[in-house]
Amino acid sequence: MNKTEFALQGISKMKTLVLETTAPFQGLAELVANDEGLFEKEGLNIEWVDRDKGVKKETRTDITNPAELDPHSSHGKLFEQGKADMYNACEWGNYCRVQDSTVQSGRQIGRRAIVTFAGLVVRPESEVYTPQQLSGKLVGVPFYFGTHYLALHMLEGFLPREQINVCSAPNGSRHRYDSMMSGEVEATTLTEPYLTLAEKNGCRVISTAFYHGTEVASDKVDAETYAKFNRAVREAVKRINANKEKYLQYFINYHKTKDPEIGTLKASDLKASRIVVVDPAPIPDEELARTADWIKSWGMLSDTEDHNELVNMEVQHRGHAAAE
Amino acid sequence: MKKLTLETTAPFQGLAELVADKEGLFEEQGLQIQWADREKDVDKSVDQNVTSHEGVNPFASHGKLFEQGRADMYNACEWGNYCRVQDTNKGGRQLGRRAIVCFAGLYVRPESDVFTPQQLAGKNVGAPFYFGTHYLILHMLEGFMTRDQIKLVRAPNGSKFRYDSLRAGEYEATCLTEPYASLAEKEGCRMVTSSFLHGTEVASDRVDTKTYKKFNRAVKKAVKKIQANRSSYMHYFLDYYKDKDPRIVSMDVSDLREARVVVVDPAPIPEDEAKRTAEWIKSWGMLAETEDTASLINLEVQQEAHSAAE
Repeated sequence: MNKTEFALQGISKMKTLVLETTAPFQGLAELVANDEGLFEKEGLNIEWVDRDKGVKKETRTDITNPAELDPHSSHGKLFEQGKADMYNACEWGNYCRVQDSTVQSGRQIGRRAIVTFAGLVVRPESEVYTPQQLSGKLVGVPFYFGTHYLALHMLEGFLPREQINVCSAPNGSRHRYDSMMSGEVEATTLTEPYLTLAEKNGCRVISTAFYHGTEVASDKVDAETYAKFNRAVREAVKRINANKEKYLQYFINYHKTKDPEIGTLKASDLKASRIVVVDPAPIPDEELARTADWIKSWGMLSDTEDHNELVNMEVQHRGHAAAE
Repeated sequence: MKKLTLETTAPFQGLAELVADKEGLFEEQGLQIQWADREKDVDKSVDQNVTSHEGVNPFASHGKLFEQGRADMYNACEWGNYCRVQDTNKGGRQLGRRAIVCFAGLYVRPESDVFTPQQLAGKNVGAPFYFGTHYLILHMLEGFMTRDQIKLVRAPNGSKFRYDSLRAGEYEATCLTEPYASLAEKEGCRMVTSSFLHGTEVASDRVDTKTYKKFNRAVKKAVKKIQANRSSYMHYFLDYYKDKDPRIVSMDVSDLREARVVVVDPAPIPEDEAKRTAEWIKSWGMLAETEDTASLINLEVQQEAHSAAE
């Protein structure tokens, strides 16, 4: 067998997995695994499909309830069209997406590697210094995306629910940052590298927290495939944790061609402590139950009687155990 | 010169006052400041058996010397001061908000299984009852879990002590202010959530409108200086501890984040915020003897001194 035949045979043994695109703040480990050939090593050929193409990027101060919007506007959009096998997004949003999925086999299969850092930000000249002072003030959040739910969590610790005043802002921190800076909203949620950019430009981050995300997959991702995927991601996690500074550059490179202002940031402007990656793992039962209850308390997820139905327990269990 | 005795303050809660003092801004206003050490003999132990504020003395450190008639004024977190003023025996009243809006974060050890605030449900969190970070912990956690899932244990005031107890495994998480928040991060601990908090000043009738006006003018000048060149004041956060903690000595100002240092002109407590704050404190079983929130504030001094200092 010559070299070309050997290579072709190798490719034919590879399984192709189509994933929706992911940014470093939500998918750093997967991006590293991809760039460093870790998926290939596991026999996986990853294809990325752009979930953000055609997504409207406008703030709508008149939309104050997620019920008016499609949970699959970006995450899960191509998956629902049969054009992707798997996507990762915040855990809260994925509960809602899985409930409303038209892909019969679409279920969560476990938590992704990155624990995302995000903050609630105001303009330099804002009179708001503490979360309490956002009482009744307009906060732009991307409904069904992670920072929507995080904003609710952060604010309801400081305010009764009736004083929380959120409106629809687009997914993508750049757009929300612009909307906040122009005064359309008093505050908004940002992820990295836009939190760092906002701080550099004098904005104040009045509250921060970390949150989990999960993967949603169709039955094309069986336990064996997911175990391979997880092994590659775990190796990426190991590499990132061994040298976080090296991988901070991802947060700049991903955005700099589309956003020259991000290109002015240096990796040293970013804080390594804000980058937390862990081995992908199953969603713990008690956390699953509490999360579902909390989402329901906000009027979402009302068509779900049993939250266990939102997870493919078999793939979750076998896919993680086999990757260890 | 009018002599004013203040309880000691650390940079995370009194940066502007320390700058005003060091740069002669109080003297410029005809005020001579004397500092009285409120921290002497304060219990710095963790007590796992103390799980709420009940039975804890609100004057353990802040207000201690004031209540003994040995200080004219002190600054502390706003929530704690509502409780202290309710319980004062010296006629202490709040006069307005201090300059610094204090940053604090909830931290876990590097090896902790906790990555998000929700995961602290049912786990012990070290809180210094009646101090700012106690109330901030409650605020931060109750957004992520039900109140019955929040488990506090008594931790000492002073981030150094709480940090040491965190590292020793005496509780799963605790709230830290600067420079210990940055130290914790440098040593691999993880912050799971963070926020900012206001503080206020409590004074006796020795601090009249004229005196407080002078005090505020000096502080406002310090605020202006800090805002104009924050980086040149970051060393305060390290210098303050240089004889007390070698770990802080080993830090550089570049280890600190300027974005965490927020100072504003001292100002009256907005009426609606005072009301909401009191209601929230009451919802946690404190401040039960206060019927009228306005009685916790010397409204006359607050109003006149702040407008005159502008």
